[in-house]
Amino acid sequence: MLELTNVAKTYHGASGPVQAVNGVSVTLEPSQFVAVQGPSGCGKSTLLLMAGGLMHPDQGTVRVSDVDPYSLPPDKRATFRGERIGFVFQQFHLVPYLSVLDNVLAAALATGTSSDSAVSERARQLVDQFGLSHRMHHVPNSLSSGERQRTALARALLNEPSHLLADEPTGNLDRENAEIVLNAFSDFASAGGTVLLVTHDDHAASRAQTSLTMRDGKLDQTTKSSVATR
Amino acid sequence: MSVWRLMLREILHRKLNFGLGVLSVAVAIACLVGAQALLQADRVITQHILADRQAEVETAVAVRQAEVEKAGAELKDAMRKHMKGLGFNVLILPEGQDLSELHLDGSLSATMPEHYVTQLAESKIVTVNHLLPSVTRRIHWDEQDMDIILVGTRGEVPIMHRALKKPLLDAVAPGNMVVGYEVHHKLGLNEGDKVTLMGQEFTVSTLHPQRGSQDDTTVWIDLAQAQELLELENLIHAILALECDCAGDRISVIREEIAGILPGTQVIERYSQALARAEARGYAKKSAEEALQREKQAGQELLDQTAGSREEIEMRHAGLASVLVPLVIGASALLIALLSYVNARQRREEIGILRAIGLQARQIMLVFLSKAVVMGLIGGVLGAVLGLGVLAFGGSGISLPVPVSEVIRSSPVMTALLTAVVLAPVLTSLASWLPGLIATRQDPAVVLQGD
Ligand SMILES: Nc1ncnc2c1ncn2[C@@H]1O[C@H](COP(=O)(O)OP(=O)(O)OP(=O)(O)O)[C@@H](O)[C@H]1O
Ligand SMILES: [Mg+2]
Repeated sequence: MLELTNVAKTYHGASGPVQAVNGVSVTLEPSQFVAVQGPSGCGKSTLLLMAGGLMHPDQGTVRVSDVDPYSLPPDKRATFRGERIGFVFQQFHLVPYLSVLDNVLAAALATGTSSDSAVSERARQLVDQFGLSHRMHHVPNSLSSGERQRTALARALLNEPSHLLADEPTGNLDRENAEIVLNAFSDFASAGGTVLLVTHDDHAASRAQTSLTMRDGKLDQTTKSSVATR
Repeated sequence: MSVWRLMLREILHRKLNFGLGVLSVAVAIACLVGAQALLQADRVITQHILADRQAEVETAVAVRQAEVEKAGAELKDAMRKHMKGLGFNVLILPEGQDLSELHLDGSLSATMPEHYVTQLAESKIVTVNHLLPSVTRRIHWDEQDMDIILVGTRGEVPIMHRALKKPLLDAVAPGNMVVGYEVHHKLGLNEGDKVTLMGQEFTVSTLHPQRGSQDDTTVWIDLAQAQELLELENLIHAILALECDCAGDRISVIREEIAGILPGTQVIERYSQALARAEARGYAKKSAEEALQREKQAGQELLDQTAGSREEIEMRHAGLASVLVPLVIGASALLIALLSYVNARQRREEIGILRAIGLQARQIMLVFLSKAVVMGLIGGVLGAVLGLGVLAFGGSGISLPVPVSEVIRSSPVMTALLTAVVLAPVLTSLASWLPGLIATRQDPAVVLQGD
């Protein structure tokens, strides 16, 4: 479960303060796949980072599996992220000098399980599952965008998190690869996970059970289905 | 997958950054090791130069020493020869003896107890040698109708505290007679002839050749027999002695010493002008000794001078090294810090994502520091090899007198090598610490917001 209560964030940039997120409350239950849509600059990425324990909100609370990650000291919070949350980004953010398999296994460094044979086995399974077996020992530079995003997806899933947070994951992908990623999200939700997808792509949003719209740092009250927005 | 693998992969990925880091460590360590090796080479060269000089000086001193010994031996030999020719040259007489009597008649009348000679022999006397007690009287040899000087001797009394010396004059055995040249020449005596003196029979045992002195009119018999004939039991007229080869105003020194042992005696020296020749040889010996002294002093000065100038060179080199080495190490540390910082900047994205997916700050720091340690170790070893290479290839230019390996095995160089191996990773770790810290403190959100 992912629970945001009245979170807000103001950036203090060189050209004055920017209110990126302005009092958002939303609760995502397990097995829910929720998309947040909105125009560029409306605060989607900021919301996602706050939800993912990566950016301390100025105001409001965040609870992930009933834990407020910002109440934890930084290293504990990092471990908490590693165990509970998988991230997927538009720019993939793979470690450039690690092979596909090592990039996937890097996630296990956070949980101290990187040398477990079961974890290695799971990494190979994921690599296999996303059609990367023949690229297992290649570095990101030599991969296509789709292959890179599939690697990032495998990495996000390695530690069997309860939450998947994705920021424009299909932005750089062709339709086929976008489908693979979106299908993986659906499968993850079906298996009991919580998915938060931020995107401005209507098609991607349409794959979610629920699509919320964000504008000027706030969520529209119009909702596609039963997501609790307060 | 492990932090080590992450570190190694990154090193291989950014070879230039790593290579420059290794190079700057290597340069610093090469500087440190090279400086120590060259300083040690300096010391070795100095030792050899000094040893060579020492040998030269020792040879020169030995030559002079031989000269002195030769002069000393010649002097001793000459003295012996002179003394032998001259016979005894010191006379110890009773205080009351009128010396005119001796000079006019060759005869002595004042007596002293015979045990004086024992007393002298048992003393610690050093200024005279070859003690010979005697009685001496000018008599008319009735049987041959001839004036002679009769001398009774019993042979030399050995001086207790000295090694036994070959006697200058052999004792005359009782019943024997040693005859001076004028006497046996005039009387036509031969060895083995029997003669009568003052009613007693003697056998002529030795005929002296001409000496051109009083000895030519002298007849020597056993002391005890002479004492009996002259009615001088247990008394003697004189103790003859041979003065030692002592420098300075000999006779007064001798007098002083004998007066301390035998009060009531007087000492006279005979033939002193003849000793001047021997003395001249004494001067020859003395000047040889002085030359030896001068040689020793000049040698020492040469050694001191060489040691001084070498020390100056060494100090200049050490001074240079003490400025250069820390400077290079400091510069290298700065360069490593800079490279490390650049590296941290380059790795913003990957560190951001690693933090996002849950790696702890200390894991990130470990990646940085382990890389720094690897860089330090490789750079340290490379630098040590380079530093010793400087010596090995530069060694021919400075004409090292020993194999390079000997210099390398010396403790200052070994210490430098050990220091290098320890110092290099410490240096790189310290230099990478701050950039590593900056990297771990970096907010992962900033990187990820780019999306
Ligand atoms: N570090 C920052 N400093 C100042 N302003 C920022 C900063 N990051 C984001 N903003 C501003 O905050 C607002 C929200 O940014 P955010 O990245 O959350 O938007 P977004 O909805 O993700 O946009 P996009 O769809 O283009 O990714 C924007 O107006 C942006 O310019
Ligand atoms: Mg965004």
